Amino acid sequence: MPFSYKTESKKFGKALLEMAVRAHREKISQYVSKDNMHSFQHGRSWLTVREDGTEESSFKEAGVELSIGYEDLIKNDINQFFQFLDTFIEGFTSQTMQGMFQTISESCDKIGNTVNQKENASQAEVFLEMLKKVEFSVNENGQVELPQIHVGTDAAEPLMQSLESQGEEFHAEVERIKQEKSEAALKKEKVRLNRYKGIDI
Amino acid sequence: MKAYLVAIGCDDYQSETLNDLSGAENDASAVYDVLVDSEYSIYEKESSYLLKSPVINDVKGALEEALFDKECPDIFTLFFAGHGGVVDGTYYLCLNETKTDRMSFTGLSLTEIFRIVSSSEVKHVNLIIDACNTAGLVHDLLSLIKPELMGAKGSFGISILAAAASDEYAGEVAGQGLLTGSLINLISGREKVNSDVEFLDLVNLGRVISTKFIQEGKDQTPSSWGMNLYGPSIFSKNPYHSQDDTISTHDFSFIPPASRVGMVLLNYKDDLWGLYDDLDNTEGVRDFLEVIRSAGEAVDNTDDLVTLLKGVGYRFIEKFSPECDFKQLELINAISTVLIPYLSNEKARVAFSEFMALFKFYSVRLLDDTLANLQEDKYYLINKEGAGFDVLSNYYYLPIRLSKLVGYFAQLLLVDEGSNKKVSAFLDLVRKDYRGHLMVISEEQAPYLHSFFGIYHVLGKGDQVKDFLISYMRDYIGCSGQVAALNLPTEDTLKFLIQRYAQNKVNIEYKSNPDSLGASLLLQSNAYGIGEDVDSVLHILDRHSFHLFIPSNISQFGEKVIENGFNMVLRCGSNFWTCKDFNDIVKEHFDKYSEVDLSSLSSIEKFSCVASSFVQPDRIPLMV
Repeated sequence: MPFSYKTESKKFGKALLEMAVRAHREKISQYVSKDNMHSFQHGRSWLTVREDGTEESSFKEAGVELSIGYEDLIKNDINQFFQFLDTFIEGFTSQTMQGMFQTISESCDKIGNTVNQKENASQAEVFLEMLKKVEFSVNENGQVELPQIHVGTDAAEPLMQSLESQGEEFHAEVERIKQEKSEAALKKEKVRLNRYKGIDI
Repeated sequence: MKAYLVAIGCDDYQSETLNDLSGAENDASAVYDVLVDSEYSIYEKESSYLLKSPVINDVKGALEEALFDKECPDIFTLFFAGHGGVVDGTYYLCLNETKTDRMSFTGLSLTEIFRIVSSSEVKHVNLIIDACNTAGLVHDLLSLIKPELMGAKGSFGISILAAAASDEYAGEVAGQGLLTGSLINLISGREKVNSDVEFLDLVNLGRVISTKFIQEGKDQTPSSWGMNLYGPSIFSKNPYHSQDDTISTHDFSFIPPASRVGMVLLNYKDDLWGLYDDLDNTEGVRDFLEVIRSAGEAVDNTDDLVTLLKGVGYRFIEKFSPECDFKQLELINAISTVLIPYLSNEKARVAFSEFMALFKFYSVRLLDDTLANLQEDKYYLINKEGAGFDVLSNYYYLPIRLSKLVGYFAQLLLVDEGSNKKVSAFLDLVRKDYRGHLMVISEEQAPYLHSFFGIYHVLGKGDQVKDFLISYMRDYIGCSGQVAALNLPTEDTLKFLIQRYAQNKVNIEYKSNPDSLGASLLLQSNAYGIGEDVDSVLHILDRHSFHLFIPSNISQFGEKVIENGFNMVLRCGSNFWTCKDFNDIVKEHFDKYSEVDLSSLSSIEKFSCVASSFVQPDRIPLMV
């Protein structure tokens, strides 16, 4: 083929892939801090070390089938270019998120840290029950971080409506739990930091 | 094309006037092996004969079978090693029962051989005689030069190679005739004749051998004759002929293209030729590793793999000679890496040891050169090439360069502890002039620094480099463990460097996360007894994630991606609060999840792991 731009095309493809990977990571970062996104070069497994023992886990594969027709290229249909990229990014992101929520769900089931809606009267009560079971954390600046709530798009509105329709007593209870959990988190953080030889708080 | 061989070697003589020989049978066997039993064979095994100390009837029987009982060949080759001589104008081959006082009855004359051959329908005859006075066979040629035997259409052609002039003896070295030894070198590909033709002819080979003997001043003058030659006078396959006349395997290796390994290598010739021409860029040796790894997977057995690695490896290494270059060490490490899965094979281990010895040879020279250059010019390790702003790249690359140097010189100590004094002298110069660059910049430094400190510790010389570890650890904590990610694109290294010094937090995309360099430094701090000092400032690294890959075994440690093994990420302030905690967790999990027994590793295994990590710095050789 005349004027193939072989090397340049290869670099173009590599740059595009890197751009797509960056976009994928940006999307994931809405749910997971970038600090907690780790890249590994080797192996198919990792070890999660906890005080009560070590757990072995395996990587799960994610894949997206992509294709673009020569006909689209010859027509110079630029929409196909963006669709190709979107399919890649959305495909990987949705699979990653699905895997993440599945893992969280399995972990919660395993230790019984779940709330069954059927046993409760309203979504607000489920929310309250959930809040009681969640442990608050402290960020690197020493500030308490409230837990995130992820719900499906269909469930979000009813939940918000249910919460807003609750009386003062309910909201006071929420605030009390938040206060109690925040204090517990700060206390725990203090204990944690005091385990360092160079810290005495 | 049908080709048959009759190879005769006669060591044992019944006659008291003919001394027994010791190398003739060896010669015949060696010729038979190369012509009939090797990858270059064009001779049919079932119609070829190897006769050791035969009687005359054995020889006549073999000739009859080959030329008359079977389908007559296009090419017939007769090789003889033993006593021979001219009696009454005829050259005789002396066989087991030959008596010198009645040669015409008990010896096999060339005239008779010519008569037998001429009565067959063979197209071309090759005759090789490694015996004394062989040029005396000229007497018998007259019996051939007859119009009824030669010249007519379809009459046979003959090529003759004789070991010595009619008044010379044929020499022997280490149980092999000089002529036969030279001939075998040429037809087995150990030496090259040319690459132009697919088949070698005996007359041309004779010329090459004769020229060489004259140049080397040997007391023996081989000669060759050709008669009635038409068309190609085929004797053997040319190991150096390649169908592709653009690039031959011999252009980038010592492997003949027509050999089994050469034919595999031809599939990689464009890549290897490209690399041979330009190994200078940083990725060059890593690309070389990928190509030889792929080529290695394409050969059938370990013997061929060793042939391939030696043939390609020595050629690439030799390219830099007589000068020395760290590329040679990198190439040796790349070749060693490919050999790792085969270290249980004896031949592979021997080859590995040879490359280790070569590593020692070059690294000692490089150490001497580096010392001399540094003594002469203290700025020697600063890259001064380029123009304008280029020199500022030293702020990023000089610390990495230093880590590589200390790593390579520590690898030398694995094979030659005697070089310790010189390595110490080098380290003293680094202390004196480059102390400010003993710092952590990139994850790429991890395997070099881990090996450097690991090897010194194992050798019981840790005290000699403890100050280096303190410098690195101090810098690591000072920059809150923010080191550049492995393979960070060049344009981002600059951004990383500026952020490292100008901001508290470097952009996560530029830094290694989780990082293995810090994990290695924590392990070494514990081993070097500075763990408690580090503990007092460890809170600075709170929430930092440290990564180690625990390989399941050593045999896969050279692979591009090591499939079997476990990634372990330990978070400071969650999993551990002291260096000792960290070390204990790593040790416990290494013992549990790896089959590698650290207490019984051989020097070859240690060297191999270091070699692999130096050429592929995405792994740390925890075994050292």
